Amino acid sequence: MSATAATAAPSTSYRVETIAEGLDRPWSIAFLPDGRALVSESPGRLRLVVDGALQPTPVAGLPSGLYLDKHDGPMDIAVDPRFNENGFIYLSHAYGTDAANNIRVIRARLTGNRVEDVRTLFEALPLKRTRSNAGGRLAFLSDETLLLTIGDAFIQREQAQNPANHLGKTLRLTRDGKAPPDNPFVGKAGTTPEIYTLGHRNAQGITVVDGVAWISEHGARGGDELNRLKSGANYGWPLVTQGVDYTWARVSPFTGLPGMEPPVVNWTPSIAPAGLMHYTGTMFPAWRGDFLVPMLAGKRVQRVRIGADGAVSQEVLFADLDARIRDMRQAPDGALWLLTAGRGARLLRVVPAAP
Amino acid sequence: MPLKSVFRPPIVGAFLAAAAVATVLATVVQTQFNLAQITAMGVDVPVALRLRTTGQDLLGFSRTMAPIALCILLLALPVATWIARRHGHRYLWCSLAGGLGFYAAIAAVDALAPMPTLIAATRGSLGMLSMALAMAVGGAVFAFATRRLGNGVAS
Repeated sequence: MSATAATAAPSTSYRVETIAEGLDRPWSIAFLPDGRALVSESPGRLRLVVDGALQPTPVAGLPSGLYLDKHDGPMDIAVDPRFNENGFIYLSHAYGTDAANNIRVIRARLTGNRVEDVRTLFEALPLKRTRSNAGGRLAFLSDETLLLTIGDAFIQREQAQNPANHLGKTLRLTRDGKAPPDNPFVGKAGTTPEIYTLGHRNAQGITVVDGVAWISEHGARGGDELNRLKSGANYGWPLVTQGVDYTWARVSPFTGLPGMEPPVVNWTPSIAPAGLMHYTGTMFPAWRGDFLVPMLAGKRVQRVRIGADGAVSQEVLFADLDARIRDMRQAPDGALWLLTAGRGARLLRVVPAAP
Repeated sequence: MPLKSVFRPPIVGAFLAAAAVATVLATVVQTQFNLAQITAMGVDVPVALRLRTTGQDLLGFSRTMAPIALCILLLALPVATWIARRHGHRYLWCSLAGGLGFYAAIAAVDALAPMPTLIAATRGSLGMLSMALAMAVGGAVFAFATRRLGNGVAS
């Protein structure tokens, strides 16, 4: 379904508070069960936010030299569903060099303002010679397996259809970084057992709703998508796309093919979805049950409502911020936390306007 | 050579014809390489769909290719013509101007642009060579169209 949102006055009035400024290329926000939050910064730092205040000292104990030095340091953060028992957090980051890199997942035990027992769980392959279209988002499914998005590396887009490697896929891992035995390609010759879904270009948003994972992914020129993930399904890229290449060249003649999952929402022209969240809080009752999609190039947030009949309605929010938005999460109190992109980025809290 | 001799209508016409031929050929070539990737993934592309996609690229991708072709030929053909005045082999030098100019332009764009490869069809050496040959034909068209012109354009 293709939809273009109309710009209008927001359906709910809101007020924006600044929690922190001066963050260095942050990538992700993750809330801990006790209400604290973690924010990742690309130079290889994790920052804690306690009682609404950014802690001046980064989380200690992360190994130096883990991260490439330009961007994509620690990228996404996932908190173990059993965090109260094990204290585990999971980080995705680029590993390797500019000439040979991919995404690694590490696990660490967070205690106070430091991490311990840092270990590498998983490294995506093959190593690629570009940093583009890396993916790197993490989310736990309700069965406590961990999903990881891997992009197509831009120059290897056809590999998104190749089940023998990790490029252009979503992967499903155990707590220990292994392929669960019920993954769709386990035991099939010529495939990689970690694969959960294939045919993706660059998914930089992931969220889980009622046990089902949804991703937002970047197309090239148009063809950005919101997809509902089904184990083993093929989402088509680059055989199927509703966009074209940046050069206006046709990537494929096909906008749909048998056996390929169509997107729930197609955004053409592109909105550059940088994240994805599903709102369940009480602070903004008008938005309950809706997807919120932060955008980089679009400098706004797309609110997406999917009706029971599949009808999609959309609204543009937070254009007044005039900021590239990297990530967006729901706080335990139902407020929205937004992370702007780049150097000197801000962590913002959005609450309803005072009545 | 004096500017006004360069911008005589026959030369401008020859230049535009060269750029147009290079753009059309390079566009058609890149479409076939992209479609080859699709068929290599096991999906058949019927002839009618191939023709339609090629037509779509002639309308779409040409927006990217035409400025590239114009810039390459604008920079490289005067150099080729200057060399040919001294050493002959005008067709050779004008063709090389188009072909080598394309290599240089793509290398420069891929190094400078945010994306690692601007034109997907140039990811492989055969695609790069084929598009460079299309540009070389454009150079040869210029050499042909200006074969009887004086003032140093003809050899």
